[in-house]
Amino acid sequence: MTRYVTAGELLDVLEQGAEALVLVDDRLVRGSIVAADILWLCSTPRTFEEIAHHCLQAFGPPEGIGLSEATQRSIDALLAASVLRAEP
Amino acid sequence: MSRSLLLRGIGVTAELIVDDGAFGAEQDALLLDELRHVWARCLVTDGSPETTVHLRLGDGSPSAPDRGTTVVGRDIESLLTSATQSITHALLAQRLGLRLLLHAGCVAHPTSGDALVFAAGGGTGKTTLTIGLSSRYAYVTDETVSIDADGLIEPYPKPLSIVGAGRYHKGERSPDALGLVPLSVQPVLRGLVLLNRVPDAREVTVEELSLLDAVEGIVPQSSSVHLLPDPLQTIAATIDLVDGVQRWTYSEWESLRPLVEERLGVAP
Repeated sequence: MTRYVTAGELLDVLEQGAEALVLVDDRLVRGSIVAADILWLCSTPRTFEEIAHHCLQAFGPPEGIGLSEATQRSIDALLAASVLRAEP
Repeated sequence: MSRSLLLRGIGVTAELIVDDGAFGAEQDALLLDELRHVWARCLVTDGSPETTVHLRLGDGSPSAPDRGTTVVGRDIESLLTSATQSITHALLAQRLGLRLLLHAGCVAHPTSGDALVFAAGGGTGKTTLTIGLSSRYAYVTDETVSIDADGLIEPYPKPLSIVGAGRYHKGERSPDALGLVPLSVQPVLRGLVLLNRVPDAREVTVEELSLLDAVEGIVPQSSSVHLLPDPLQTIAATIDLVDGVQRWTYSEWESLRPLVEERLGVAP
């Protein structure tokens, strides 16, 4: 079942910190979410898959994988890719 | 004539079948006896096997793929070592995407079942630490930990690969022969640490890891975590069960005993 993250939930989390992890297949990428990302993310409820895909666009795919390739993998791995809520 | 055993590990039942080997029935019988000995803690007498591993003494290539995993070895010692690896892979294959699977050792308090999982890559001292701690704590596994959403751990008290235990670099030893405390209670996750063995470390260092640092450290020690429905959430939820993850940097396993006692309580 697809789980949506509401803008309120996301804002609460992002106020505590703006780092995120994205899992592409078994590869992790970690990056920071900037203000523009926050605006986009909070504009409407987002699925974890949408958040993950946006993060990959924002801070790049795992090392050694091109963005387009990661996007291809993400399409398959979107079922597995998820964004972890950041700690302060 | 084939001979079979049933074993259970990480919640999976497997059938081991000793096929007719190239060196005669007596050697096949010896192989079967050795399997019973080293796998004693995993043997079961009932259950439907979910996977099958064939073992055969001899040369040449394994049997046809439709017979499942087949392990061939020129002698009993080397075949036992190869068998342990193949059996572990066969069991894991049945659990991928269903459980959080960590490349880790684990011991549990023999009375309460409170369990400590210590994850680390190969060659970092997990087996040495497991053997040392299992003189007082119950031996759960030295290789692979399967954890469910409630922190219940599916045991895998497999043979241990010991350097110098045989003619080869490493040999398989039975947990019974090593005198490891047997597990008689359900192990429940109470602590999760990442091991960092540094041979010249003068003292033990304990680091409290942030959630993201902990997940970054755990993912490489997991088996196909991406096959889980929500892998990162699953790891985070597991970390929540134990109130965080620590990284222990050490040189000798004995130096970790006070930390283990602090987590699990002193063993009887």
